[in-house]
Amino acid sequence: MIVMGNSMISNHKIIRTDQAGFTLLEVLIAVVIFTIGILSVNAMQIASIGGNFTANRITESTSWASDRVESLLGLDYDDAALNDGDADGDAGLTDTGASADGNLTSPDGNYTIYWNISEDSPFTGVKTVNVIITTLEKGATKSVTMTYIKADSV
Amino acid sequence: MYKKETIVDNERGFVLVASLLILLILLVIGIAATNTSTIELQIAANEKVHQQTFYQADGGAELASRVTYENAMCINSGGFVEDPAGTGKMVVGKVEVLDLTFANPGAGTPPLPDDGVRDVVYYPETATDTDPHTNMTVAGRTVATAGSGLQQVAGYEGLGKGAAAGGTHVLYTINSQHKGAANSESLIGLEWKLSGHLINSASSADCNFD
Repeated sequence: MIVMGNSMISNHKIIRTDQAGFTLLEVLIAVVIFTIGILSVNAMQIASIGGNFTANRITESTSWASDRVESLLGLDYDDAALNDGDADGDAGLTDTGASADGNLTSPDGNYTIYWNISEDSPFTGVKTVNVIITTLEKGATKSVTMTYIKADSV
Repeated sequence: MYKKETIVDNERGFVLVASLLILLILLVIGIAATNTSTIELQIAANEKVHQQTFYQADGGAELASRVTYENAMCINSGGFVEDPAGTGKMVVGKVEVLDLTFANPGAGTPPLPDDGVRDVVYYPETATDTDPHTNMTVAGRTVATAGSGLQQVAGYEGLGKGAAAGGTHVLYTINSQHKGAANSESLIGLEWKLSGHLINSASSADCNFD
């Protein structure tokens, strides 16, 4: 189309001016939209990482609880670890901290394992064993509880 | 000149379209990550509930073995005593025994426990079937202990009859079903052996619930 010498120059001038102006505006708009988009995708990724972290904590707490229950149920009925040390029975089954009947800390320090015993509960000759795993997550304490009943041998 | 402007117009959307396309890809990645995270959380929560329910059911089987022992000690003195009277069952704290002589040896194959089918039930929270609870069924059968003679099973005839009896034991099959949080269920079955002599020689002094 650009065949006429004179108009070609003027044409080029117009094209260059147009391109430069529109491209800048276009890039600005694109950058703004892209930034908004990236921010929301970023928020999604952060939420996803947070969710995975929580899921990991739940899974590890469950494993620690399971580990402790299995260890305790392998002990003798009269073993010292299966004594209701403070004799608080059913009321003390949910104790954590110093009032728990037993406690351990996981090697990585992230989980604290408490267990409470209630003797002759819920029947004579059986003990209720309550294992509570607590972990600190985003400043809040989360816990997983597992209950087992251990019977005395006859 | 006009046509040139049209070409410039076409060029104008290029960066925008490209950025939108990249954004779309990132969005798909973001949604996939969120989705994975949600499913991961559900898996972790289900795993937790599964473990809790399993240990409750397993503990229920242990509990049932002890209740069976206590009931077996009471068979000679007529089984457990109805408490509260008129209900047909014995309530001890959170444990309810619905069949007062369930440890009496019989066919030895208990039905699978459920809310309507149970010998013993344990309510950790409140005594309603909508809350978590453990249903247990028990049945025992008398079997000759390996290596025992006929006299040991039946006892000698005549004077001193029964003196040598004790060559039998009762093999209990215990089923324990826990209905836990989030409609979870776990079923544990075990076999538990009790000396027949212990049951036959139990006096009312051995029975703790008469």
